[in-house]
Amino acid sequence: MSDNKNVIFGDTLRGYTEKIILSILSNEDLYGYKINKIIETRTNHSLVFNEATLYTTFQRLEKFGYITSYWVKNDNLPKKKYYSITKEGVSFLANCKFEWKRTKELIDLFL
Amino acid sequence: MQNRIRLFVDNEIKQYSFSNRKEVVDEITSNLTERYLELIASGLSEEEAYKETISLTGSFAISMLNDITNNPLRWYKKNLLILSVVVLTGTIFMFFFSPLGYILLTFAFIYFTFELSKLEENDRQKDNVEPEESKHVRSKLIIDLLRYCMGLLIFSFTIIVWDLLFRLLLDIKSISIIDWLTKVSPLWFVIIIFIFIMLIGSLVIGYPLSLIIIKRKLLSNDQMSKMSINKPKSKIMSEQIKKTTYSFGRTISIFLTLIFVFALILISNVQVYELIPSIDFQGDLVLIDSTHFWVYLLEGRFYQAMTPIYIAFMGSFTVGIYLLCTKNFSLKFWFSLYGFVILSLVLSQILLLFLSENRTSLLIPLIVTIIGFMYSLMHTKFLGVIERIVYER
Repeated sequence: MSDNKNVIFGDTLRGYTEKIILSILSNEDLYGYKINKIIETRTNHSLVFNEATLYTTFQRLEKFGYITSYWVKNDNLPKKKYYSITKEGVSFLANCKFEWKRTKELIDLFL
Repeated sequence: MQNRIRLFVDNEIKQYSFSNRKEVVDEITSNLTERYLELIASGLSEEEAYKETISLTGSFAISMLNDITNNPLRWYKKNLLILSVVVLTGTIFMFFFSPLGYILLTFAFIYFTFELSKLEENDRQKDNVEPEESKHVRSKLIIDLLRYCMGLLIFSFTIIVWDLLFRLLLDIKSISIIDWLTKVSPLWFVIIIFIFIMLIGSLVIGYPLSLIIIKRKLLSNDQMSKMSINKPKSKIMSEQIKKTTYSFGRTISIFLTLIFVFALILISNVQVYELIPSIDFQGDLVLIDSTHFWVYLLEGRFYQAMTPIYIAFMGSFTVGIYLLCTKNFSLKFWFSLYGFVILSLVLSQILLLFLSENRTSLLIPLIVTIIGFMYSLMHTKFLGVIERIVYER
């Protein structure tokens, strides 16, 4: 169980949630819970997105054509909605990475 | 348990109008169920696992805000339509049955304020994922919307002010100074009105002029040499003064708007007069009382008829000159000016309330005037938003 005192919820990282999700999706197609699980694991349970934030983010990314979705049926569990990054999403992510690198270099000069 | 989670999710989002509600419920239920099963496997009881699971649902209100972001055109069009209909209806009613017009306009203002705060919230919540082109289109839309609303507000607020001015000036005919003014010779009448206009005008124009003079004095030679070594002093000075001068085009357009509104009121009064020729113009104040102007005019009582015109033109002139002369013009100032005028009118109405025989009819404009004034006070924040966006542009 994660210690809530150390958790950074998704809203704090407004503006970065899309980039984080796109980055994860750039490796493989995944569904919401799995994406959240990867984020939790990689950040040692320090970053958690709630369902509303996740859903909103998926909706926005789909709207701008950065991801697409499809349903996959399971025998025992409810069907899952998988997300897949598009070419536009890949290109957008590459731009974001470049911008982030440049910003980090500049900010590191001062902080 | 899956049904319990589904019920919870369904209940959580039912207040929001998702177009694909079933899909949303399916997706979120699927995610939460998987989490729930994992928590059970880690040793939690069913109830503990359920509570932990639903605690990670979050609020879907944000999703609705983003829905606005995704459909700005639809959202703006809807609100603009409502606002336009209410303001125009209110404006029309203003000429025929003032209290209802006031109420409609007050409603439009409050509604608009509420919608604008939503727009602000929406802007705060927007995310960086939006493409540049879309951001550009949206920001253009917001600016257009604000300009449009600003126009409507100035238009309707101007009508309120002029209407109240007419109301007041035509009702204070029993006050001795007006009686005295109507008895003096035409030459003296014109001279008195001219001096009065000049006095008020000097006060209003004097302020920006003194600002320019003070700025000149404060601008020391050292400062000027730091600003530009190559430029001559006169050029720097003219640039500084130019910076304190507001856009000529905008000033003229506001000035013309005031004149247009003024003319509109007069024209509409003619129509009312022609529509209801048998109306008792000395009767209740509530109904079309500003038609007194035309009664005076038709009866040949030009002094009484022309006084409000002088006042209206003077108001337009002084506001126009002020805007022309100072960069300090702001919509806050604009509305403060109106707020001040309205407050004066309210106080005058209260005075008249005790002087007039027809006290009940005076109460209605008094109440709606107070509402209008309260409204103008409430709008500081809203005007700040408009100013920020207009000036940033």
